[in-house]
Amino acid sequence: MEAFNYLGDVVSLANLGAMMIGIVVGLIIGAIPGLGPPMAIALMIPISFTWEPQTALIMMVSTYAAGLYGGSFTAILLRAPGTSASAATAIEGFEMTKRGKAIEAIRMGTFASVMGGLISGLVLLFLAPPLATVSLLFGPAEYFLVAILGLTAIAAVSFGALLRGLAAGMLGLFIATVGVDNMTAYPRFTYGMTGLLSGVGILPTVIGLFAFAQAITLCEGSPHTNISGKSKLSWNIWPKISEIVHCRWSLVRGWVTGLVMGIIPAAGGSVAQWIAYSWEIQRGKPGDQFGRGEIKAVAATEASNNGVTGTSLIPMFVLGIPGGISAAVILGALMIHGLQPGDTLFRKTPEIIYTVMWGFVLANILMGGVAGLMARSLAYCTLVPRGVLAPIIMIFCVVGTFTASGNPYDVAIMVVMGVIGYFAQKYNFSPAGILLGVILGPIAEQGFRNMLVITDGDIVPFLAGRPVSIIIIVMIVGALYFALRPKKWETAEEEYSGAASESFSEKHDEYAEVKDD
Amino acid sequence: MSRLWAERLTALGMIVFAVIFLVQSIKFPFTSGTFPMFTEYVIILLAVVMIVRSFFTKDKRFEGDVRFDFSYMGMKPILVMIVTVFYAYAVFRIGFYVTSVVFFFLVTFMTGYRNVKVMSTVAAVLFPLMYVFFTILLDADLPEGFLI
Repeated sequence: MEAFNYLGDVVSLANLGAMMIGIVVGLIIGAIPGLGPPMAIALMIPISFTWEPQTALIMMVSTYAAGLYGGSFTAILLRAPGTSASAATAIEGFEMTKRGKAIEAIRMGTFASVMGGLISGLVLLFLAPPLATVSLLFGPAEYFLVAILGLTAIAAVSFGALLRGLAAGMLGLFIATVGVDNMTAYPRFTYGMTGLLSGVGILPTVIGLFAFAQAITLCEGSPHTNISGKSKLSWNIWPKISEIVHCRWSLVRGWVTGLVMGIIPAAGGSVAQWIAYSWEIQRGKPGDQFGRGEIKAVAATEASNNGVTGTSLIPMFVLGIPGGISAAVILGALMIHGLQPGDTLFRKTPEIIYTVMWGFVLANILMGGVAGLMARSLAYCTLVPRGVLAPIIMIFCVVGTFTASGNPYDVAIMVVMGVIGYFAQKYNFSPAGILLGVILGPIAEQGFRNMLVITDGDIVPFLAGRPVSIIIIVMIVGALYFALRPKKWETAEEEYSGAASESFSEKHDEYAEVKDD
Repeated sequence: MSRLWAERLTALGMIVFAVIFLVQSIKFPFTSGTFPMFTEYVIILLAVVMIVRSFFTKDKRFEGDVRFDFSYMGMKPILVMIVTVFYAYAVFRIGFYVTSVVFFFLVTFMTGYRNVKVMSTVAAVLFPLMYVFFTILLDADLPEGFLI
């Protein structure tokens, strides 16, 4: 319990000030599609270059936690996820916004994220060294299997149109193959366009499929109405006990998913949210309304993507292996300040590393207050007429995509993905399936091909000798069984199929209120 | 067109798409074509299942017709997409701010919103704020052309 010796060190004016700057900048930048946590953290490096290492690093880890949560604001309010880790939240959160329940979605998202970050931070603080060894158990076979586990979520997010959902997933996997093949350096489907050599990025894809497609959808119908159909917003931004009790198991499932997926390098929040969402759909009960604004799904996805934050820093701090881009940027900052990740960091400079870890825990608590107020202010955008909001979202999509990469081709890719996303949404081809394919395609392909090289094509005995692989295979089989089995909430929905969907919606709301009471 | 025929045509479209890229994937050297070919074969398989299912299904979702709305209201999203393609091109030729202001007013008008006072106020607040945030605070590179 050496960590407790450094708890007091975090409470200094400099550290708290740095934490607040990190939180505010992270929330703002995270909320803008395209400008995710890596950019926000990178922005902090030159500012904090001359600061004490712990103060500088506290600001960066605070930015990381807040940036990941900030992405959910626009995901819930506008279906424009600020980061790829908030895409699943966009599906259910925005449906809640359309039903005039934006504030409910935001307060549950805030609670789930804050608690997820807090738990993840405590795991980072107390279990970092033993858990870091777990990440070493993941090789090409496990990466491939984790990608397959993620792909099983396609069945869940297809919402009854399984064939179309699977086709969308395959399209996503296909899109992920565009660009130079990492193993043979052969350009695939690039047709001489240099901008396609680096492939189709996750960022332009997520912005296009969700934000841009949503902006086009807003152009339909009357331009004078707003998204939520309301003219006033509630000030009730703190979650109610009844809401937390209603979503308690969804929150637990989300946090567990996030904590586990964080330890696996390259998985992160982008994968964790889909596994949590799929798990939630499979565990749905009669009366749940997945696909049309279910608060349990918002709780699970937000719990998972912030549950990742702390544990994803474990391989970076303990082994020097960054699990994602944000962790890589923080690793860079760590080294700029003359610190070496690994055992030395804990032995020679415990006052720095433990203060930073406590700073991460405290930042998640402070984030709750700041995020609640900021989200409430941002929720005003749901009152803006659709005709005015649509071009603003489109402009932000262009500027966000370009600022993130500086590549004009990415803007073109974003627009194309937006058009695909619009028609996919309209004709039930699950944009979420396409995104899952694009995210998991490179992990699956590279893992599979590396595994083939290592095993010389003899995959089965190789997998049978790896306990982690066997556990993941069992999880895949379980996920497929539950995904294809008729779900309780779908069966209940069919009972109402004679009535209009609005009527079902009302029944669900009544059901939820009764449960809350 | 009936929904059943729309389903069959969609499936045929998927097959054509997959075959076009399959022909290219087969020619890729070494193992570069393996993964794309896998996705293309699965798309073809799914399309075939969709076609076969369409002859036997009693699913209520396939009852009725697909109606296309060729009025201005129905075509509005398509027209906005076309304008956006020009916008995405023009920001790199003319410049971000000038193009974006024109795009904002044009798309707002296209959606049918006519309150010029509100539009002007939003533009007067939005673009200076974007300038302060992206150009001054973030020092971000925005698309540049012969104007700003």
